[in-house]
Amino acid sequence: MSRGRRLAALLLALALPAGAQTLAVVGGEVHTGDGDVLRGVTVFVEDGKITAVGTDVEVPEGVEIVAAAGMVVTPGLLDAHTILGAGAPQTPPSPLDEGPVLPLERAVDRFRENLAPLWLRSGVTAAYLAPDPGQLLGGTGAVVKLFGPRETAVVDEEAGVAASFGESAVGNRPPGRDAPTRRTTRQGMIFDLRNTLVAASEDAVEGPAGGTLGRLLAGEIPLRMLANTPDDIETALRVAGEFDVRLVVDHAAGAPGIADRLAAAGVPVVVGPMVLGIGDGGPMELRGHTPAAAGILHRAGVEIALSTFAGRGRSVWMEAVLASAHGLPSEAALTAVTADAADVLGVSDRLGRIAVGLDADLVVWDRHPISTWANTAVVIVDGRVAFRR
Amino acid sequence: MFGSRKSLPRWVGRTVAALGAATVVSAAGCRPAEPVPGLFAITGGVVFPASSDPIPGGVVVVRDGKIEAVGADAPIPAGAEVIDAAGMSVIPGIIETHSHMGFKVLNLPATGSNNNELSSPINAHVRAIDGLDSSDPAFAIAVAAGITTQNITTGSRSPNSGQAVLVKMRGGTVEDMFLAPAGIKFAIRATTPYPGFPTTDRGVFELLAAELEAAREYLDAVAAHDDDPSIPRPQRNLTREALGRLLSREWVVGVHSHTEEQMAHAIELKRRFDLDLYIHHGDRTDVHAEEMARLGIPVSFGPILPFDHPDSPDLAGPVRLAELGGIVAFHQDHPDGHQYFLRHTAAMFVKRGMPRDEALRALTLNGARIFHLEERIGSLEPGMDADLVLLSGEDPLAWESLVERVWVDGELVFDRSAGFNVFGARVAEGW
Repeated sequence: MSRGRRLAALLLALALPAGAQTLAVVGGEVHTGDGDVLRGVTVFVEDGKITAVGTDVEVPEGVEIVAAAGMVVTPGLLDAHTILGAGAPQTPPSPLDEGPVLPLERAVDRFRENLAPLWLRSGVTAAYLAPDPGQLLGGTGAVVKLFGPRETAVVDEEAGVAASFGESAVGNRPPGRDAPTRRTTRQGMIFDLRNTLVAASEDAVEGPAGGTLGRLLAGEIPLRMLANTPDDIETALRVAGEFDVRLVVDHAAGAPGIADRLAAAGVPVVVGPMVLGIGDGGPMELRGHTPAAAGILHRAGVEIALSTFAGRGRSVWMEAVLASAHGLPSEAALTAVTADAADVLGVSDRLGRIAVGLDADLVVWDRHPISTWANTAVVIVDGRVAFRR
Repeated sequence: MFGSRKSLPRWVGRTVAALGAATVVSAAGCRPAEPVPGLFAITGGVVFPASSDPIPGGVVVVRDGKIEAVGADAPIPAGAEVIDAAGMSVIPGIIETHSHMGFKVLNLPATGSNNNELSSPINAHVRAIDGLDSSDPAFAIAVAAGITTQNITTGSRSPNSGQAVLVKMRGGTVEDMFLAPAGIKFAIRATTPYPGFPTTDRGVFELLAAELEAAREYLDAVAAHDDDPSIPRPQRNLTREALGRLLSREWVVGVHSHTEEQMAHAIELKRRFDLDLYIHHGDRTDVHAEEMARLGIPVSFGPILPFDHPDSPDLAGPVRLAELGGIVAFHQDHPDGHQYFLRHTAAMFVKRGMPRDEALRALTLNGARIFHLEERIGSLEPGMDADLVLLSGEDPLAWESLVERVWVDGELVFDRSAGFNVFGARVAEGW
């Protein structure tokens, strides 16, 4: 930190009520999120942003100190696929009645403050909210923080277009002799998806959905395609290639079987949850998912993020520990819930790393977080202590 | 995938074990002894008997399906296959105290399920053993998770879903797996809208109490006839005979109850009929812990994962009950919770203040105590069934430790490195 910067920090500290806007995490072993480990450093925070990281950062008097000697400091963890705030899945509207473009649900509408207080306690500071997973084109997902008001907590209100493919979307077959009101096959669904993207690329889709699909086609936001079998994942790759859209594959139970292909295509995978009910939780196809998947994909060079696909219960921290226990190196497991997750979610300008200029979402742990026995000591969001054990 | 299991004869387990045998100990030490079938010793690891303190560098000797010796200095008999467990741990086989495996069959729609007999609200005469599908692929996950015994129950959509059954993960058919009857299941829960089914939780309680009273009258009538043959014997009634086994405490009854009020009804049944009763689920054990400890009501708590977080308020109840000397066992309620994570639940309670040895007992010995089988399963003591789990690390509760091998009655049923699973490996691949 330069002398001028230190002075500025000092002046700022003097100008403000002590501890209101400045904070320093002092003396911890800092895991930056992308694999680097810095020992005995101070992370200095002003106005919710990280303004200095180093061993020579002087902390002015009056600044709130979070003592982290002997502890481990990481970025706040990110859960790359949740259904936080979602009620029971809605019956999808009929594509046959309404044409190829469905009204797109905006998951950000489910935002409320403190969506997951227990997750915050295990160091999870932000999450991707997915729209209703039962639909071919479910809507748009959002990245939100799990602490703080809407103005600061909504990081990206339109972080991707969610598409469900495979059993979870086809599964709602029409009963008995009633005529079908939606596609009854995978190939029928994919026709709808193609038809929608064709219409959007010809500017034939109007209104908010047209704008969103335009952003998708322009590569501004990714297509988040939930697909599990290797064939379904390849279909996702095929369609994404045809329209040159950015693809992120969600769940991807069958991805280990085609890991090399995903790596070559540079397509990230949001690995589905391993901790789930085997009977009633999520699509059947996801049950082929095993804890070994994350390690296999990582070794093949696929960029991965981890997820719970949940709105309650265990957090993505547990997914990271289990992925590590089953073959993902522990630093890679940490990266998969911090820096890489932020990259996959498209929010790395604010989240996922401990670096100057980024949001001060920090977790102080009593040991390396990728451990059964790790506990959070302090969780900081936007420079404010959100939880202290 | 099931075919592959059915085609595996029972001796495959032994063969795999024999192939893995690195050493066979000789008595004299000059030449290798003839290996003795059914005799092996696990050495060098941390042994957790569950009934006593862990033994670093402990020895477990198994002969003919039973544990012969456990200790730091237990001699290794001549002819024993020696399994080096340095850096690893050995625990008793895990007991799952609430499972629907074989009923809610994996990858079958609910329409094919035998899990709920709903022709009547009272089904004490219905026996789970008669409907269990041993070809459920999920059994492969059970052994990969270190589970050696399961209490398989049906229900809970009727007030009394029937008789439960304890099975061991030996492979084969239900007769191959059978261990013991597991008493009867009640459910304080009014969710089935059929004629004759109670519409409130209190109504469920009243129905169960009335049925138990009727069973008592039936038993009295039978006893009266036995005393005085001139009094006619009542016509045999299989429902009341079964419920009568609860009144005589021959059988245990597990009562499904989640809420504070439902649990109060379960406790009232215990008081009124002096039953050998334990509670399934028990979400509000925190409220009732003192009374449960005083009355000797164990809890089979769960399902825990994925539904609970280590900081969930519900987890405080079992911690408190254990503190008070009550019996706590964990369950995953397969398939609602994933059975692979039964062992993983223990660490969550340790984080909430449950001593580690108590958390291990909640996976092993305490389940055996609920069913009064603690002289046979649930701990590592001489004479007990050789149901063992070998884990890759010295801390058996850490998620980093993986289940490496599992034995049931001394037979190898799972071997991670050899890719062997007595139920067929494919379903459990990668787990």
